[in-house]
Formats: sequence, C-alpha cells, structure tokens
Amino acid sequence: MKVLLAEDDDLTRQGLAEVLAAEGYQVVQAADGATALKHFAAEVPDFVCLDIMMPERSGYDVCRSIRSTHPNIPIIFISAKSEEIDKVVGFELGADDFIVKPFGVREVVARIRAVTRRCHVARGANPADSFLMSDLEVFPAELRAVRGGQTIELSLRDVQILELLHRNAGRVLDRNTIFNHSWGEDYFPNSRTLDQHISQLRKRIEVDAKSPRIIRTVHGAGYRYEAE
Amino acid sequence: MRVKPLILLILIVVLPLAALMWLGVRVVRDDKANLQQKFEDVFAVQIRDIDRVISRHFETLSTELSATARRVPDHPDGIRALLRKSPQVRQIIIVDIEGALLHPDPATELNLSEREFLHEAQELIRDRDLIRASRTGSGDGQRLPAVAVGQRGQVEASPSNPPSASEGWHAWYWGRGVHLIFWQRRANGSVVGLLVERGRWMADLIAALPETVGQNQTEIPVASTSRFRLVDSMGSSVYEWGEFEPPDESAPLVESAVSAPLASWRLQAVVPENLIAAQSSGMVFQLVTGIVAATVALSMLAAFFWREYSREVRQASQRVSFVNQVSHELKTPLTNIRMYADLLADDLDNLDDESDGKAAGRLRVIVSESQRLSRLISNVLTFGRQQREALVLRRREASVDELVRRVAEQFAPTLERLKITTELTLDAAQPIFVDEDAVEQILVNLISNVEKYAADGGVLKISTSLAATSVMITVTDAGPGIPAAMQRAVFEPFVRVSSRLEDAAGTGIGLSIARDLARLHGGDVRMVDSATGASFCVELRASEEDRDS
Repeated sequence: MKVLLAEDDDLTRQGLAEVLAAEGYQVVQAADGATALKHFAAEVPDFVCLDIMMPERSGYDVCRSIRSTHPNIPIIFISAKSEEIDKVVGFELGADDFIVKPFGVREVVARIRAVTRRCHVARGANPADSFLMSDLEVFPAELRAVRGGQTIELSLRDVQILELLHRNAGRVLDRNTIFNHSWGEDYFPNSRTLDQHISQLRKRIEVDAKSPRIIRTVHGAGYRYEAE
Repeated sequence: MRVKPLILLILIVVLPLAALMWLGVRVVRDDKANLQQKFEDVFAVQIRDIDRVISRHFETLSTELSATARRVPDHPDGIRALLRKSPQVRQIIIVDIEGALLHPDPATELNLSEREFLHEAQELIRDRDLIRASRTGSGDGQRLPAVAVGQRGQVEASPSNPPSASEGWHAWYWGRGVHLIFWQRRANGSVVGLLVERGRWMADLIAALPETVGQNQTEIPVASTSRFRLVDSMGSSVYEWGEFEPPDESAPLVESAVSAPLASWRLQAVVPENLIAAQSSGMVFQLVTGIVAATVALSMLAAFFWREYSREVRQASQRVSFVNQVSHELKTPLTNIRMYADLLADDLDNLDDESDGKAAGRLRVIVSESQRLSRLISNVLTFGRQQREALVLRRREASVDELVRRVAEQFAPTLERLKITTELTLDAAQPIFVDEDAVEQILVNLISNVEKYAADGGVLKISTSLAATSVMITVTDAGPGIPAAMQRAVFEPFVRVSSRLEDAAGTGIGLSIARDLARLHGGDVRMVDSATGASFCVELRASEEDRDS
C-alpha cells in the first residue's frame, strides 16, 4: 500500500514516514503542496496524509485538487490547528480524518489502520473473511486477529507476513522472499530488521513467544508456518 | 458578550436623560403655572388699585351729593331751583316713610323733565325701592369689594352696608344701563333721592381713571403689555386703556366686580396670550440647553467607559490569542519530541531484553511528560475557545468503548508507575454520534485528575453503559475524594480543592472543560456517590443523526 505524506516540518515528516514504513506502507514524501500534487499524479497512492499549513499550496488546496480527480481516495489531515473552523472546512472538503498535533505514534497508527480498513472495504474486501493459523483467527481486511475472544490489533505488514506464511503453509520462506513481499523490492533493510519485526509480532500473536507455534524459525533458512 | 455592555450603556445614558427630560417637562409645566399665578396676582393688585380709584371717586361724589341732599327744600319750586344750580343732579325724588311719592307729585303740574322721569321711574316708585334701600342701607359705595382671583375668575362684590346708614347709593336699572341715585334719610323718615346725571358721572369717572397704568415693582411690564377694561352690566366696554390692543373676544386674565355702587360693572385685565408663554420660553431654553449639556456630558462619559471597556476586552482577547498562538507554536516541537520518543521506545523494545531496563524507564518518563504537556496545551486551547464561546462539536460515528481503551492505553505507563491498576468494564461498543476529540478530552481530564490527586495506588475503575438515548461513562478512583462542600465548585474554572504549594499542581480548568464538552453533547458531568475516592459520571446524549440512522 502506497501513502503520500505531505508535511513541511522535516522532522515531523521523517518521523511519520518512519512510522508509516514500520506499519508496512510504501511512503512518498513531499515537503510542500506543489510537490505533493506532482507526486500524487506520478505515484497514485492508496491514501494521502496532508499537513494544512504548507508552503506553495495549502493542504486544503491540495485536498480540493485531489478530490476533483479522485473523489474516493482517503485523505487524512495533519494539523496544529485544532480550531473547529479548520475541521469544518476539512470535512467539507472530504477529509476522512484529522490528526491534531501534538500526537503520539499510537494515535497516528490507530487512525491510519482505521483508514486502511476503510480502504480495504472500499475495494470490495469482506471484513468477515478470515483464515486460521493454529488457534488464531486472522481477519486481514480488518487488520485484526482474534484468539479466544481477545482481539489483537495488527499492522498492515503483520497481516501481509501472516498471509504469506499461511498461503505457503508447510514451506520454509527465506528472508528475501518475505522482504520482497512485505517491504517491497527497493527496500534495503539491515539484516536484523526482519528478525526484529518477527520477534515483536510473536510477542503479540503467540501464546508463548519463547516457543512459537505460528511463526517457527528454521535456522539458517528462514521462517515457516505449519498447519496443524 | 457584546449585548450586555450595550444594554448597560443604554441604561447609563438613556435612562438618566429620560428622567432629566421628564423632570424638565414637569418643571416647565409647574413654572408655567407659577408664572400664570404671578401674572394673575400682579393684575389683581392693579385692578384693586383701579377699583380703589373708582371708590374714592364715588366717595367724593357722595360727599358733594350729601351736602346737596341736605339743602333739598320741600316745595317743588325750591327743588326745581336747586336742580338748576346742581348740574350733576338730573332729578330729585322724595318719598315718605311708607315709600309713597312726595315729589315730583303727579297730582301737581310737572315740567317735562319731571314727567319724563316719572315715566321712566314707574317701577322704581311702584316698588318703593328707595325706601327699602334706605331701610336695608344698600350700598354707600365706600366699601371695597373683596377681590378673589381665579383663573380668569369672576369676582363678586359684597353689597352689604351697616343698616344704620342714613345715606347711600341705589343703582337703578332702566333702559340701556345703570342709573345711580344718591339717597338720604331725613329726620321725619322720608327719603330724598338724587338721580345723578348719567353722562356726567360717567365722564367724571372716566376722567378719574388713569390713562395708563402706573409702573409697579414686579418684573412684569404691566403698562406696555396689557389692556384694562371697565365693562358695564350689559357686558359692553365702557372705557379701555393700556397699550395692548387685544383681539375681539379675548378672555381676560383677571376679572373683578367693581365696588358698590357700580357693583354690576366689572373691571378686566387682558394680556396677550403669548405673554406668559414668552416669559416661560426662557425657562424652556435653559432646560433644553441643560438637557443637551447633560446629553453631551453623559455621552462623553459613556464613550470614555466604552473605550476603556473595549480596550480591556481587546487586551484580554489579545492575551488569549497570544496564548493560542504560543500554544500552537509549541505543538510542532512537542509533536516531534513525542513522536521521536515513541520511536525510540520502539527501538529500545527491539533491543535485547537486558539492556532496555533503565533506558526504557527514562524514555517512558519523557513520553508520559510530553503527553502531559500535550494535554495541558490542548486544555489551554480549549479553554480559550470556551472563553470565546467558540466550542462547537463535530460529531462522527465512534465507539465510546474504543475511545476509553485508547485513553486508558495512553495513561497506562503513568498509572503503572503510580501502581494504579485500571479496571475497565465496557459495555458501549456500538458506535454513536459523538465528537471523538471532545470525549477523549473529557476522559483525559478526568484521568489526569486521578493521576494528580489519587496517586497512592489502588484501582481506577472506568465503566461504560449504553442506554436508549445516551451513554454513561463512570470514572471512579481510590483517592481521598472531594469534600462535599467542594463538589459543586470544582466544576468552576480555576477552582481547585487545594491551592497549597505542597499539593499537586494544576490549572483548575480541566473539570470545567469536561463539563462544558459533555453539556455540548446534551449531557453532563456529575459527581456521584462512591464507596472509594471520587467518582465522576459522564453522560453523553446521542445526537439527532444517531436516532435517524
């Protein structure tokens, strides 16, 4: 999934880009409104995160311009202005959500996952579709998994990894395969990135992360899911 | 906010002016009445003086006639001779004690004048007026009438005389007017009457009257502005004087009957209609000037206060907008601090378990403190909007349970540090139309209070429930609670249970904001009784949109 991120503050933009990338999105960055529109035309992202106060063209301008050609693409506004008037204008322009500065990573993640779910549904995915991995029922369109009535929130990347392992149940998947599928081919991670991610994912989805039953390590080769 | 001072301004300026004008109108009216009274008094005195002149005239006349009467002989020839010597007497009449006519005796031979008189005086003789007048002593012309003056008032003269009088005047009405007879009682009881030549006494009387009225001591220019009239019993003017020429039928200002013997005649003083008005117009001018001056003064005062007030309002709003600007500016660096702290925390999570202990703990402090700063800024901004009455909701579909979970998660590290365990009993998963940010702020403010004031461990209970038209969220802590006396006041801005330096810090606007936001949702925030600590119940009403769907 591709996201266009337009934000003029460099640190905020880079931080957000990192958060989005960690969630499993491909991020296209723009530091001003004009660049954002140029990138939008070239890349056609799945959704857009827009700062309101930007040089060249404001977030409102960019939003209006995008809406004229792509009326259904989700747009999230990021703004320091929590004033109601901004929200009203934003919603009238067709913003799907607002992230008000200052925000924490968790809040951004929650809102982006919510937008992603709506994207999935809009593309015709059935939120009720699921697959079972051991005792874990994964709802990919919902970015959720359920075990024994307890809901586990998943990132887009988590879902992609689980889907890949589930599809290839019983087969060992080497790191490159998983990388290319879940990070994209032009991403050059350091060798530990995948292992760290799997380790974090296990903490959340495995009953016991020390002896995993869903994502099993195959030493020297990669990872494997074994259907029971 | 703008209406109240405007009303106040109107009260300050308009009301006193209205009162002043009312008073002014009353003063002018009273003054007019006073002036009228003053004029009437002045002219009444004038008329009394004139009447006195008339009285004196008849007094002199009666002295002369008294002497003549005494010389009246008994036989007709002697009487006729006396008449010829007394030009002011037209005819002499003598009646006996019973009123019967002794002279001129119709039985004897009479001259033309006597026959004419008998013809004219038939009734006088038949009714025996003279003898009756002499018995009752009707009018000797010496007494002044009591003059009572009202508004264009009529004054009656009292005709009574001492009954013992032996001479006096009798007014006899015949033909066109009054005829005067001077009578004198003789020792044998008979009465002599001298009919005074009418033309003569009238000419004498007019000659005795002043040509113009003398100046007086008052400020009213009587002579130049008035006309006096002597009016006979038929109402027609006998004589008039004074510079003013009144139009026909103008009513007199003061009117009074003349003293006897002309008691049926009247004296009138006529003044121009506009004279009093002209006198009082000076007063009106002063009043108008006064009111204009007062208007100007009050308006200037009001303008001064208005300027002071609007300057204060402007300064206050400048302060608020400055605080808003600063708060907004603080947001960008704060965003980066929070986000990078979060990212660093994630990085530490990914490191080996052994090394993350201390560093992760310190980072948690940074994260939770930056969260606290965010909440503070958010409250300051909301308070600014609250003060500008610009709080508006933007309702969207949201699950209250999810909001509660999100806020609880935000506070998890802090509450964990304070050894407070959180107990969620959530039963409002179904999405309803609320302003997520507002509900989040309400929850954040309530849990912030727990963090500040109930920091000694225990359990924080948050429960939600969904009714037909509303959602209830209850937040109960295990702290010291709020004294009963303070339970209402804590919802007021800047009110805190304790402001002592050694107690927890805070701005005192959290609960006020929470309550306002809940009320915007058609609900409220209330304190409810609880076994432990303080318990707040938030009620949010589902909006119209919610019921429609």
